[in-house]
Amino acid sequence: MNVILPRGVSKERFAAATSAMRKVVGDHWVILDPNPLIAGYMDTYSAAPESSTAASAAVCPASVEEVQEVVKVANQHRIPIWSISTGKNFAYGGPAPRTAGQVVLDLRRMNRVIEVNTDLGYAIVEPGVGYVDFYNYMKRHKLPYWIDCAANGMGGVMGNTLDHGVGYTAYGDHLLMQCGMEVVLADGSLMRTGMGALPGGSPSWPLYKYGYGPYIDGLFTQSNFGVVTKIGLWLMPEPPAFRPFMVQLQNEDDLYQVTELLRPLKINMIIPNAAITVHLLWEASVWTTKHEWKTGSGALPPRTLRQIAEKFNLGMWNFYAALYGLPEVVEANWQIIESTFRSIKGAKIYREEDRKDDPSFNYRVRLMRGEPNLTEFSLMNWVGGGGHINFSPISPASGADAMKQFQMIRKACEKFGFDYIGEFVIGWREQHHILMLMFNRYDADESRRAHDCFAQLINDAAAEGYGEYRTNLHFMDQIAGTYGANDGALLRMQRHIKRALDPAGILAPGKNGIWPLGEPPETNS
Amino acid sequence: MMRRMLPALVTALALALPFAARASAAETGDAARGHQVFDTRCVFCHGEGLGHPAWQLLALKKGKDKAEIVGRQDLTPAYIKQVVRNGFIEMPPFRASEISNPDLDALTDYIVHPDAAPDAKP
Repeated sequence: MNVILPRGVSKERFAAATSAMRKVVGDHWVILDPNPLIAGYMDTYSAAPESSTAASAAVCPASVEEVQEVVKVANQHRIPIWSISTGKNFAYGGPAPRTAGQVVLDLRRMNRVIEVNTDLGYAIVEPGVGYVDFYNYMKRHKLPYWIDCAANGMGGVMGNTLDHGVGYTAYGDHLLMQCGMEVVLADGSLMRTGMGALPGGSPSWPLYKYGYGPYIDGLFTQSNFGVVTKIGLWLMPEPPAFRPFMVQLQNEDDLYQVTELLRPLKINMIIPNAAITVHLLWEASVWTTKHEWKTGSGALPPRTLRQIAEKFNLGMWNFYAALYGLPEVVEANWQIIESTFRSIKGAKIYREEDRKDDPSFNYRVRLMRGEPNLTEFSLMNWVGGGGHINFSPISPASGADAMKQFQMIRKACEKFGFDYIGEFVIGWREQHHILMLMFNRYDADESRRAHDCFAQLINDAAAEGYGEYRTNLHFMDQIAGTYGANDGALLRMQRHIKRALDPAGILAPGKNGIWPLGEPPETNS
Repeated sequence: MMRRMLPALVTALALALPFAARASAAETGDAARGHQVFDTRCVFCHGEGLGHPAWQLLALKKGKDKAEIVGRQDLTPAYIKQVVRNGFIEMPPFRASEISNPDLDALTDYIVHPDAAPDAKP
């Protein structure tokens, strides 16, 4: 049987490296192709063939010291290693490496919540701490803080933060709430950022981000400059009052007005959390599947969308947000919310008690109070077959930009035969537009169309001045290319840093378009 | 492309291993531990009712009586382990680093013998 090897690495060199890694982590924790357990490192949701990102091996250290030793071995033998935390970054590649043959450095076993400080409201966690683990830890210890989780409750605290992920409480901008980082560099040395660089450690490490000199934590996010082994993060105190709500909008054009009305509420922090405006089908997937409404391919027509909205009491857009804080403050702000959104013709405002038996509203409420769940995976039932990739451009939080992106992306979806299933996640001043491109990955034609649709969308968005904030393995180079102002100055600088910090190019080659030798290998997918 | 053929292979495996051939509780682990694993790794998709995607899909495809996998009499331990480690269509695989082999034994035991676990479902 042919086994997968890293590109350009001989069987002998690979065997020597994996043998040395076994001595570090133990035989059991080096998983080599074709061991059946290597299947767990496949990207099972992308449109491209799984073989294009199949790992040659996985190495699972249990401590920082083991990570350091594994990195040294990789450096000595020139073996590319791709680090993951929980490996649940679905829609973006999951646990799989950028190219076939890279060795996955699986940090899931490093799953300790090292500290939660209830006076100062922070936690320090290892890479393998999942949202469910973290949530359960807080509950088990009866700590008066909430966590903030992504919609994929299986995801990990560190991995999501390092990939610039967002959640839905007032602490939803995860990287904004990150403070203090420990990193294993490519030579195996250990570094702490900010105040953590003081000898003997500093209690201010998870409290003050900037330390002294250049602020560098961001260099280790969406990059391949080091292996992050600890992060500090700030925790949101459990609020005395919490009022989630939904504004149901009857027309697709209402997207413009709701976004315009929302912006001042966000900038003034009346609405403190990551508010979201969600298209009908995203929510409908919790209730129904496409096959119940249409056979064959192609997007659902407007008449059917209306029928679905009516049957499940959903809007063409559904806006969700929440108020947090003292009851008196929440009540005062609620008056602003009601008067603001009632100005939209036909809008209906619901509170939690109005839709107790509504699983789509219920999971939004749970997310807005930091309670992990997986209801959003209902989307995978929409067409069946599990395939999904997320296209996620950033724009100003304006009605004009929201409508322009919605129309542009829906047009492309319909051209390639897909439903538009999208949402806008509104931060302080910008919005993440998330298209959930759903397809049957067991249908080769549909997978190809999904891949082509995504590739076109990148170009369409770039032509309008929109860039994506995060992406799937297979589109990292294309998107990196869209950030090409000044003759590619940004990527050029990133590659300079790469060569300085990782001259052998062993850490996650190709991550976000950063290749050790500058350009991607020709055979990359 | 191997994994895209998997659903058929998994189904064939399930049919090839009759329920009577499943491992005993002693061989497959501790149902109480399995209950914990289920509640931290599986329940979010395999809990009961809408809002749990796997329940939703199984209810559509196999009927509500088979939508909840805990206590189903037609699932063999070998089949459950195969699905957990390899994934199955919409379900992602779970690695040994996140569900260890002993935990997978216990999980399997809980799914096929839920009545043996404390706080077991009726």
